[in-house]
Amino acid sequence: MLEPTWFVLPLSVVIALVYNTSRYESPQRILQRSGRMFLLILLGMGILYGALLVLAV
Amino acid sequence: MAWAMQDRRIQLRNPVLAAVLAFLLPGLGHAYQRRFFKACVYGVCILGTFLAGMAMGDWQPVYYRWDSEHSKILSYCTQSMVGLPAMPALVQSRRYKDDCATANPSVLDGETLEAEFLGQIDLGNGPQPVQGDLSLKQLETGVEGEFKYAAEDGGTAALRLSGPITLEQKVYPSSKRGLKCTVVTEDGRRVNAGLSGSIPRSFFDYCEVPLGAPGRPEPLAEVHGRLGKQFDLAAIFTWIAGLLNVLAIWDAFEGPAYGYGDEPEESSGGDKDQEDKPNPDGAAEPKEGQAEESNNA
Repeated sequence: MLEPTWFVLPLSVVIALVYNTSRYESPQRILQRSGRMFLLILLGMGILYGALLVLAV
Repeated sequence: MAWAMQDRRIQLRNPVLAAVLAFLLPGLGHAYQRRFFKACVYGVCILGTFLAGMAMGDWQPVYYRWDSEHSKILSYCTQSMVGLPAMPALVQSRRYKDDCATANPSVLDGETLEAEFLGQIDLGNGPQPVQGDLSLKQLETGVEGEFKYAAEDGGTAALRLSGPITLEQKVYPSSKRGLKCTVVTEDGRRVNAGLSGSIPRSFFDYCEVPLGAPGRPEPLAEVHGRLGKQFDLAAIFTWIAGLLNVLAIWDAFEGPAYGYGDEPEESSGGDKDQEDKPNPDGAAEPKEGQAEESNNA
């Protein structure tokens, strides 16, 4: 089985898409906002990962 | 609902019916409202997440069980928000309970049983792995049948089966159905030989079947032993799918929370989502500071 950490990518895409689809109607705005939200989720988790890594070392 | 009602481009048609359809199948309510882009996004994302979770968990993470020993009601409530794909769990729960009460392991479900068998054969010289075609017939006197398999010399060997069998119940949370048979000689004499293994179980007899019943904790331990953390991850996927469909149902009922989304986007600071929200007159809402300033003036 794939390393479970990688499941964060499709899950983040799905959550960003569904959340923004429920906020807006325009497909262009939905995709734009979803892309931004996806990157923010990754950034947020990356920061958390970095902080935990520093604490663990 | 105010935003959608103000914007003529968003036609909610019958919002209650749309919400019910959105609950039954993600995307269906939006297809009914002719919001096809949204229908595709919800359908693919939510159903995709749900089915991915189900496949990862060997079609077991969604089940309904509520008894004195073990309750999965909260988990199932979350999963049930996906609608129809989670509904079979209710039927399977009932079927499993009935089967637990009535199943007889030494009797076939029907008159005959034909399946591919995978397991071990013991012909007196220790158990050996074997795979072949099994056919059994239920007679008044008992069960009889035949097992054909590839012999070591490359040809096909056949064994006659008879007497007591042990067949796992029909409805059970596993894709494999355990079976033990006794091998007999051509004239029907029982010899010290037997088959032990499994035959495939029908998808409809194991999908969404409860992982255990009162006094039977084995299936839950078995699935955790076989899939490990993958099973927990699979359950999380199905929970996420159920929770995401709540957003879709609300969107079908009330329309998009922040309006159509073609309003000019503010480029700096603050809560953008709030800034994007138009008021019912179509004009941008005044910011907090601006409102105070105008009040002071």
